[in-house]
Amino acid sequence: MLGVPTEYFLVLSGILFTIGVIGVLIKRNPIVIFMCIELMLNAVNLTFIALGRHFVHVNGQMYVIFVMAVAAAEVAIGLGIIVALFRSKETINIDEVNLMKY
Amino acid sequence: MTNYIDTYQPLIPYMLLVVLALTVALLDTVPAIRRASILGWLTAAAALVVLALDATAPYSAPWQGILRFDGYSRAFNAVFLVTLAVVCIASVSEEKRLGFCGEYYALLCLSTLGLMLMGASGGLLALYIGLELSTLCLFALIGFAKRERRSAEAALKMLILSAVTSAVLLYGISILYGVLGSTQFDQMAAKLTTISGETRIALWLGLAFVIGGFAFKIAATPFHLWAPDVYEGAPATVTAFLSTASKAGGFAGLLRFLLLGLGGSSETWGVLIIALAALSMVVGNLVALVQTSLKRLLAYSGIAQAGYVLVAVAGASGEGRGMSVGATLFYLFLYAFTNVGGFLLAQVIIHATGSDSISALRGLHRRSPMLAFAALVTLFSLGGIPPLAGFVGKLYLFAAGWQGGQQILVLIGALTSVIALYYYLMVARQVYINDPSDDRRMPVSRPIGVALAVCTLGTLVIGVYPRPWITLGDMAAQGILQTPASSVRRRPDAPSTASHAAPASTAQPAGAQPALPRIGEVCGTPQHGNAEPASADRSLFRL
Repeated sequence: MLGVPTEYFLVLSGILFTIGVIGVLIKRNPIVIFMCIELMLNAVNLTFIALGRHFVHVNGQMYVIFVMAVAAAEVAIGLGIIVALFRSKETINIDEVNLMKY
Repeated sequence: MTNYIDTYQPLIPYMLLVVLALTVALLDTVPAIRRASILGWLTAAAALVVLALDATAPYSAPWQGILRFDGYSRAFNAVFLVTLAVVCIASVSEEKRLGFCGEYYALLCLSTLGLMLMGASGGLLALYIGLELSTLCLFALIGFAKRERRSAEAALKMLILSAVTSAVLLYGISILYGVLGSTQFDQMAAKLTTISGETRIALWLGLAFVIGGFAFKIAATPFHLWAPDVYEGAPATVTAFLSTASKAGGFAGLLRFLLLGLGGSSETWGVLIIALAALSMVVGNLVALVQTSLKRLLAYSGIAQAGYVLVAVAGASGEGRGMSVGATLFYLFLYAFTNVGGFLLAQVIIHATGSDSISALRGLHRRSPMLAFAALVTLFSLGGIPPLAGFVGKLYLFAAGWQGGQQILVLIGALTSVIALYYYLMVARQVYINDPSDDRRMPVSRPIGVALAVCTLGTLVIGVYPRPWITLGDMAAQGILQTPASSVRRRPDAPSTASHAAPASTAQPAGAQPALPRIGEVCGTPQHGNAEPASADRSLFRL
């Protein structure tokens, strides 16, 4: 096994996840928000791989494959929806996507 | 050989649903079929065939228990597939207006498949895949009305919030994996008893994240903010599916996770569920009071209904588990009929008057007495007035909660139900007492009429004669209770994997591991923890 302890990976992924969450909260462009969500998902992937290595299972790595597939599907649908929204509103700034409120 | 067939036979309905989805999407390319608009009826009929196949398949737990086909999954499948059939029928009349055909039904089928996988999951992996499959299809369905801005807006809101929540859910799963060393429910439960000290904090964090993910799916406060907007913006038939089947799927996964994954005790998760239940009931019902749009009213009422169901879930620990599962399933089953009916009514009203405000219902009984009757049945059932299904269901839920020691929650539920009655009766007053501003009949297309009739009849029949449906709930409870919550290990080739409803795993002392586990075993049922990273294990990892 390599010398890097598992905790390092977990802390790193925790930091990445937090950056992703902050990005989702402060960004106004849905495409950037998607990138932040990808960051969150990749932080999770890192956790799974690190834990899989720690436990000596393939379980953790299996999750990563599934998560990547799901993330790709999500982005594909997401971009489609963003295009549809842009066609009808001429903007994708989420502050202006406010036809429905409370 | 028979074992092999028994093990994989329950998969047939699931595969059939995939085939159905692809077939429907393909048939869409034939212009004659497209013009005749029969695909909705076809899908509905096929959904019932799938339901019949599912009901006759044996119980099993293929692939070392990644999926579990038992009474529980079967009972929930009934809820999903019946909803699918009704929604497909109702959607036929939307085809022309929204300009869709096969792909819509294909997405509905795949979404249902995801929900069925959630109900049949034996671990968090299958649960997550099922959740994502159903949600991803729903994004596309919500944005289906391409010409309406609200639809795209609703889809974007749902997409972003749901993607964030599922990332958080996944982070929770990874924490639980780190703490418990596995994400298979039986092994999680076995490891849970050994957790102590600081690890408990990590466990709680992971739990909170995962339960938050489910709370989003079932639209429980404080994760409900997407629901009113999405329900309002999405096409009404999609909303009907989203508010019933998708919610039922969330509960199916939640109960699996709580009762199998976390053992029989509610010590770890009780507080979270109690908070969700109390908040949902109070916020849902209070905010519903000030709504003027019928769809938003139903959305907030749906949040409150999720709270009622959570009362039973909160009581699901120890001996009361069976009753809670039974009550939850029974309620979700009747709620499917009632709430689909509610949203279809909203659809008819919007179509006829161009507005979805509650005042559009004025004097409905003079304009269309049958519609008014359907509205009355739906509203009274949601409000829980005796001869109707909602009353029996709510009584059962609260009884389960009371038996599970959640007296305060039941009291909150009873009090907020009274508030709820006020706004349901306000709508009923518009329908029956107020004079119409316009005397013309509301046009009801035949497909929606059929679907509405099914919903109204279902609500009436379940209310008057609840026995068979309570039996369905009992079947679900049996499925959960007969699965050993804390089995130790499972031999991959043991015949018991395929046995009928019997405990699907054999307890085996940890010392008696086979020298070289198979690859499937490593994937499905890993060694727990890092306590003894056996050499066999490690060598396999290198394979």
